[in-house]
Amino acid sequence: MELNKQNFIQLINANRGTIRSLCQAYFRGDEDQKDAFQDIILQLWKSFESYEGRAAVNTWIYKVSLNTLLTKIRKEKKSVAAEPIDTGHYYISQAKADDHVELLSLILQSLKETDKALVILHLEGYQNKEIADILNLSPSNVSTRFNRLKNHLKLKFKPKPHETK
Amino acid sequence: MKLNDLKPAWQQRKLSHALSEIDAHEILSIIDSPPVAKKAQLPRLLFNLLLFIAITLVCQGG
Repeated sequence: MELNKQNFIQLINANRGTIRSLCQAYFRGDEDQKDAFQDIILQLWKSFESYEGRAAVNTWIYKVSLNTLLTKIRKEKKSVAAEPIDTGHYYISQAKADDHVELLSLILQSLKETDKALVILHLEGYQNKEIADILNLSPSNVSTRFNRLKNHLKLKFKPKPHETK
Repeated sequence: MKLNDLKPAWQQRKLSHALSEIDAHEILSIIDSPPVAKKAQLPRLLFNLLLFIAITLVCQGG
């Protein structure tokens, strides 16, 4: 097997958690997730030779994966539709470690494609400027979207009423 | 609620998806095979070309 391919396989396996998590965040069905996964691998492979370590591996993986997912969704108009969480507020103060994972899933499900990418990149520790670069957005667009998002989350995920003083 | 509170949850989610390794053959089968869409393009192109020629001939009244 070519050295290039071996390196690529190693790199994909080292980042499999990220790639699978992204597919799951955007697609619900197993087949759709598998399809998205294959698209991402193919796009990563196509840009692998030109990558040459210019950016951090993590950043490159996120940039290619998220842009592949967003393009795929726009093209196919087929994704996990944003589900408004209007059935009541989630009480964050009750949350334990596992509940945070559940809460994260709820939040991601409630967001539209680009906002979902913003939140994921924020959770990964990227600054607004880096997020703008990864998603090909302007930094001001990212800031505006974040402010809107924070307000949305504040309204949806309030502390338990009797615990507020 | 602060979004930063969910950073460990995202890491946990990634970890849980990293448990099983991806088979090298699976990756190779993806990167070595041309996309299905491209494979299907040639017959469609030929069909459209033949159709165009046929229509052109008919419309010339020959």
